[in-house]
Amino acid sequence: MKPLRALLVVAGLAALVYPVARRELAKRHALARVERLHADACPVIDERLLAFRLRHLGPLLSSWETIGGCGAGGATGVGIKWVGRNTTGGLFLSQVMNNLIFIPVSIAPGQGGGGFNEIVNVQVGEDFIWHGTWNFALSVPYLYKHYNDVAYLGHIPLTNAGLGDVNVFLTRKFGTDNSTSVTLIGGVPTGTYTADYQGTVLTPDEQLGFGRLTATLQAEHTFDEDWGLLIAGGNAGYRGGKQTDKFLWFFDKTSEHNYRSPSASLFGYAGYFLGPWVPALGVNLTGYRRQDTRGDFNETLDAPVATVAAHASIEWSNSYLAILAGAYVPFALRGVDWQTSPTANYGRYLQPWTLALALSASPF
Amino acid sequence: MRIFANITSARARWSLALAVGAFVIALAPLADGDLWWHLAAGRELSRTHAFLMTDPFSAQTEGRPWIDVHWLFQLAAYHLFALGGLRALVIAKAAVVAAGALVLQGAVVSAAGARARAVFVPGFLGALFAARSLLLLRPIIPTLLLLAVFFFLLERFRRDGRLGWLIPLPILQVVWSNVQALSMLGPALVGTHALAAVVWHQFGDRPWFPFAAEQEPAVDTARAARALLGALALCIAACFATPYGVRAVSLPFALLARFWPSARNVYSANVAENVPPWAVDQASASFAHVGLLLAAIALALASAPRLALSRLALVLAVATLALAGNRNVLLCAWLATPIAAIALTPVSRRLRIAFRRRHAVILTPRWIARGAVLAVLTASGVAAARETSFAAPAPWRTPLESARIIEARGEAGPIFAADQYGGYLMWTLDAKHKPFMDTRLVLRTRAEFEEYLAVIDDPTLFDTWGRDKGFAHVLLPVAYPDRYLPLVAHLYHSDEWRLVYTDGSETLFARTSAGGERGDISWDLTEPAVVDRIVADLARRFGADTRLEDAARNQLATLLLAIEAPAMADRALGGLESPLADALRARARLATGDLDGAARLAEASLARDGRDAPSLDVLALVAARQNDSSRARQLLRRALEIDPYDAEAEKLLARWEGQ
Repeated sequence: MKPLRALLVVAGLAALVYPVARRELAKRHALARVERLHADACPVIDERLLAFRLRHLGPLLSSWETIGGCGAGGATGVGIKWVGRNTTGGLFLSQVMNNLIFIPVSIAPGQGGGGFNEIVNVQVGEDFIWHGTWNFALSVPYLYKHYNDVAYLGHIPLTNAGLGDVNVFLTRKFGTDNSTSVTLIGGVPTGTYTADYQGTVLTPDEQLGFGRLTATLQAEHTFDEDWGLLIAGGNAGYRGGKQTDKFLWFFDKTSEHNYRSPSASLFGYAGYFLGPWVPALGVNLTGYRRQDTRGDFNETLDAPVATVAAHASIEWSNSYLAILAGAYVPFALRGVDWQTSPTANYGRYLQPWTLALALSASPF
Repeated sequence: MRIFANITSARARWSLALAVGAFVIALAPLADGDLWWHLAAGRELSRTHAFLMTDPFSAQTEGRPWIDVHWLFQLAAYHLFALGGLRALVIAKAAVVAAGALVLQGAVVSAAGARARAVFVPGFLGALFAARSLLLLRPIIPTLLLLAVFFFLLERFRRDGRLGWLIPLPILQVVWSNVQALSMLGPALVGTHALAAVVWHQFGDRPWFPFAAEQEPAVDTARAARALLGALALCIAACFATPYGVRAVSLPFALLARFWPSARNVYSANVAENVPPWAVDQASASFAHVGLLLAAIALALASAPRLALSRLALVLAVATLALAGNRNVLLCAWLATPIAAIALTPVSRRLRIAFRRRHAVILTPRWIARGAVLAVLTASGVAAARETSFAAPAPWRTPLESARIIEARGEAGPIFAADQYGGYLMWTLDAKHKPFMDTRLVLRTRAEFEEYLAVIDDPTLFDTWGRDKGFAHVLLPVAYPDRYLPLVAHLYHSDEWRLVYTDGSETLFARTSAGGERGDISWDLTEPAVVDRIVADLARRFGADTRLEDAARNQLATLLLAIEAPAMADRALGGLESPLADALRARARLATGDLDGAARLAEASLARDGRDAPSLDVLALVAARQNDSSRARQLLRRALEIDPYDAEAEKLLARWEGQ
């Protein structure tokens, strides 16, 4: 009930603060525009600009205008990024992305025989009417995780499937053409994080969720050129921190803490316009404050603290429908800590990599 | 003695306050044009004894399929109108609202005990008062009652699990489905409870499950979930029990898509009741009360030790609808307030105990609640007393005189009228004079509505378009919204049209080529005698209420400014002393080139009210005409500091940016 209560309090306070904050922002924006006027920029103009009506008795029609729409943009911070035109028509944006993540076989004895994660992510978004500069989106993932050979369970194959952690996206676009955007991504712990096999709790990466609220702040800028587009940006994420759930502890008293480290990424992508097609290449650098762990801080998940990832995708789109296929291949740069060479996954550079197929539609 | 004791019991006192409060809050004359086409449909239903499957009323949509799911409301409203006119409809509306409020109180008491009344009654009346302008004489009124009954029955079922509480739901759903498209709220309400019951049955015993029990401990949760799912299935089936079958069920979804806010949704962006309350041109104050309502509801829910999933989902649903469109703020106030009261009652109990321990006598929660109820009752009483007669439509909302003139002139042909006038023209005129447009936008395509807006916004398009459509008359409002003023000015100066009537609030134009032989003449509003005659007529109509007479003359001045007759605007305002009249006068002086006069009036207004942004706009324009750019910029800055949403200042800024 505590997270729910916190959400309700935040929502209540936001509803109170919103009109005041919006008015203040509108004032600052208007005054900045006045400041930018040239000293002699107030020539005589038609006085009919003044309204004849000075008090609204109760409007039946409103004539305010809006701009914007579901333009090109990104769906996620790390992993496959939608680079292209996406869809531009319709009432709202809905997107289905299927990610197939290949987990390489570890060369270390007893460390697993690889596997795959299948993630079907349904995202529904909507541009706010407020100049079209706000976008709200909800992303609901369904996960199917399969591991070929799980050593700590007695070398058996393992499958875990179900709803993952739901993400909420709130984006504010800036600039006259909405080319700069800042997105706050909130993760809600809807995926189970206490799944067990015959009494043994699965590792955090085998779970469907982490059981904690997460948050990511992402900023990016799109350079829209005649020939294509360039996207540059970065993000910083709180991925849940320590997980001290008493329920989990009941099963595994040695696991006082699971831990997911904060992370930060820098990324850049370039897409080329070929009629309705947009092929794109990109690179993503991601660093973690320290390694993710299970149990206490000495029991690592054998994940690197820094990765570089190559991205390649191709998109086909019209106003209402867009299809994207892509690959995301990360390599380890630094190992279990920032001082070591890339020894994560027992010296393998290649990290779990992703193939994706996505469909985006703006219906109605 | 026992009867007396009952009447003076706390229960009776709270119920009486609630019923009287809700009744008085709902008392207002007809301010909405929709009722007229509902009455016209009711009359047609009574006359033909057949359902309306196609539209018989509008020149644009005649013969098109019409899913008239409101037919039951229309029949009832028509017969009530025939019995007692608008007064009977207004009183019936207030009575239904009061009955709904009492039913909601029953649900709250069932869920949270008798002490919840002290939380519910002041909160609900306050929320209803804030949403008072949305309590229109429309099918939404029976919908409110049916929502309350559904909520009551579901809360009673939650308490004891008796199937008897669910049996009336499908029967009521059949009625509701023939009253309004919002009847889909019935299955939504039952579905929320059914889904929550299923979720509780599956996960309720898990330690991580954050929600409260959906049923009382004695109720078998599996059986309750099955019963609710059964009720849901029957309610969904009941939605098909209309003369329109599947089409009636699809209608609410089409309407939902139409008011959902989006940059490209022409219906959401251009129909005031569909505009989101947080939209930019809704003055910030208009969102403030919605924000306050939502904040109070959220904080009340947060105060609860545990919340039932069904109640939380309901609040989220109605809050989302409220944020999506102005019209739904009423639904949010109606349904979320009782749930908030249920959540808040345990806290208020703890507060009461704390106050008692501190020996507080006057400032106890109960006295605070009583004071709040008294304040809302007083405010709603004052508001009702300030209204005009319930036997007639609210002033300027219905084109009574123009419709009479059209009928008297006899010239046949479609009428181009503002959409809100269409309903009254259907009701009052015969088939020779059909309005082209009305508020039944569901009968029209998006392209047709965009075309309508385009000819309003760009009057030069109207000439060719109007000729093609063969309009015999054009009937446009001055009173509101402002959007029609450019077209009014265009037609006034057009050779094709002549003004045959105005009272400053409505304008009626007839084709020049077809009126000479009828003996009526064009009204020349630059003639002092014509303006004087209108002013005298307004004094005769509204003389008993100076508030109305002043407003009518201000509207006349607005019209005269719009048609570029500033001297006549000044004349129409003669003797009026109010900030609004002074502001209009300043604009009239500015239009005639009297810069000193305009500046004097604006400065006098500013001396009275230093935060009068429109006067700063006038002064900024005067400074610009005097080639003092620095001062113009400074005045504009002051205006925007005071009101960053000031439309005039925004226009000036945009123009100066573009130079």
